[in-house]
Amino acid sequence: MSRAVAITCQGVSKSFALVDGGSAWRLALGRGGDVPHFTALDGVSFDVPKGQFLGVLGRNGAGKSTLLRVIGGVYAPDAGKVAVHGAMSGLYELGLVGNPQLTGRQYADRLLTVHGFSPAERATMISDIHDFSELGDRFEDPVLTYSAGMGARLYFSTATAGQYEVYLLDEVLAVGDQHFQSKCWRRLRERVSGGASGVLVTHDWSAIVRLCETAHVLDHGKMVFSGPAERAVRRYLYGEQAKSTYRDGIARFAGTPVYPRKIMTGTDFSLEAEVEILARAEVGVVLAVERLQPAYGWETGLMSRRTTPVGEEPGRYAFNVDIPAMPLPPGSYQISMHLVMPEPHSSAVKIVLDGFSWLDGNGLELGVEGVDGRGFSLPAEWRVTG
Amino acid sequence: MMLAGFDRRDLGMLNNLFRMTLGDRYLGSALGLIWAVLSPLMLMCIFTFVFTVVFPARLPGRTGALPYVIWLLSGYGPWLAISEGLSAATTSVVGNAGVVKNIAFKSELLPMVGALMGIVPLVVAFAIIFILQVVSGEMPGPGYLALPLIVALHILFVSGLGLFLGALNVFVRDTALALPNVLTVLLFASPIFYPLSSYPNFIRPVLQFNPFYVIAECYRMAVVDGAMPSLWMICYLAVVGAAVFWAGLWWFRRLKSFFDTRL
Repeated sequence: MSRAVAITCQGVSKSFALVDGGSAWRLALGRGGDVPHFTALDGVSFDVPKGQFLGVLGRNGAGKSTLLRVIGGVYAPDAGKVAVHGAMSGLYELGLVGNPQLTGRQYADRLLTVHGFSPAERATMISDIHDFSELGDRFEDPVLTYSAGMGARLYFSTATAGQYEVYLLDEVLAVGDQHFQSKCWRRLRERVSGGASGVLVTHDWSAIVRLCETAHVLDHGKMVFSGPAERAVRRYLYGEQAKSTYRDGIARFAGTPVYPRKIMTGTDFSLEAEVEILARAEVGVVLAVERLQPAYGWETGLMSRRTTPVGEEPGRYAFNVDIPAMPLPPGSYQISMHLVMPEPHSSAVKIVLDGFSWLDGNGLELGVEGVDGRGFSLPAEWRVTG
Repeated sequence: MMLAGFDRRDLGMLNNLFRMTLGDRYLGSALGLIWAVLSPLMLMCIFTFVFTVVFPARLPGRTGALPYVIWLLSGYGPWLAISEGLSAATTSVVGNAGVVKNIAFKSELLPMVGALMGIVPLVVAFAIIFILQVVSGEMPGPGYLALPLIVALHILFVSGLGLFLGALNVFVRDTALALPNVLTVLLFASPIFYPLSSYPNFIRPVLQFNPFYVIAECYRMAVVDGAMPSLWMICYLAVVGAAVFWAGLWWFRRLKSFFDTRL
């Protein structure tokens, strides 16, 4: 089934002329050809399906904000095409648009006017902004008297007051107090579940994990990774080369484990793997099933804390893990499996010899299918007592 | 419907930006919009004082202080509108960097909004003239009906220049600093405080094509003489205005993609 697309970017490139005093005249007179250019975006392509937030991770200067502005139509791309379907609200920076003498109310009114809302719509939206931003009486004070956090509250509230179909947000959730941040999250999730889509640009990886299913990593204007949010986060955090450090020469997995990639919840699960022990050591194996879920963050579904011994003498060993009647609710999970040996001096510390983990990009994916609401959950009993 | 690359939505945006700029200009001052009336009024008082008391100028066919004041204002009001419009247009892109960087719209609207800011002193000047005319018993003539057309051509011309200057100012910030000096020179070089007949005969045929003079003269004919402006002036302004606007727009759109680096 093909899903409706909210945003399409095709081969978007954008460069900026590096203008100094001398080249300014040359540019103005149309001799801009020889002015050095800085490439901010280089052939970026992606789609954002309706009802999804796309995360874009990247370091400072990677081109994230430029990308957002190109999508929003503030910058015209040098090459490529951008198509946005539906009404759009962009918050490109937490700076002020216009006159700092404006009061919070006037600022909101102005921005909404620019977006073309009628006076009646504006009235309800402004009372919502007043409410949501929790600025209270300060709403009537000039914006220049606001603290950074108060400003952020005003800008976020204004940008998300309307029911838009597409939101473009830049670093917005990194500011504001915890209380306000959680309100922002709630509002964004509401919008997403209402069918809105958007792009969230940030270097706060936890924000991406919380809101986005898919994410891209941008580096020097190029898209260096696209995929599931958790893998993009790994790519962003650890780079391409970085892997966990393993103690070499003692033991390693001989090949990829064999297991069903998709199972029904409640059915038996079995994983087979082979281990090669190269030097004499007390080699054990640990396994964890983890789940990364938008809106909940990390959920560890199952984790075997105990190390299962595999062997001590050099040689090849096969083992398997069975999980009878897989108790996990439907969803997509990651299996991490590591070979470990105890530290000779302290048995509590384990030395990692080899492993499969999403953090290293070779995680074992597991899709659990079935009816929602089935599967393991805490046997909590709820009562309304008041 | 598209006209010169603008559609209905842009017209709405123009309206919004105009109100926004108007508000910004006078916001934060204690007297607010009163300054919009007060500052042209004061300038007009100064010039009226200078040219009626200090240097009494002679005017063919009009005697007495009040007719002279009306004549002076009918030229100075449009000039204020032009200079105010040009200054606002020149700084419009740099001054609205926040808007340009955060809202998707056609930034060529900004210099046009700047040009439209000149309407404020224009309205004030004509309101004063109207009052003076009624007081002095000169009945306003049918020439007032031509005002909308003249205003439209005036705005077209100033927008064109403003598009040119506004874009240039992004790259060469000296533009905004040099402009007031240039405007002063232009003001005294144009027959606005004195009639064209003050110039020697041989240079008049050339000077009468000065568009600043033509704009002021059109207003003057319509308001003071109560007559329709001469046809050649209207045609001349239409041609020059359209040409300047087109050239300014072309220049602005060519440079627009480089704005991002300079704002």
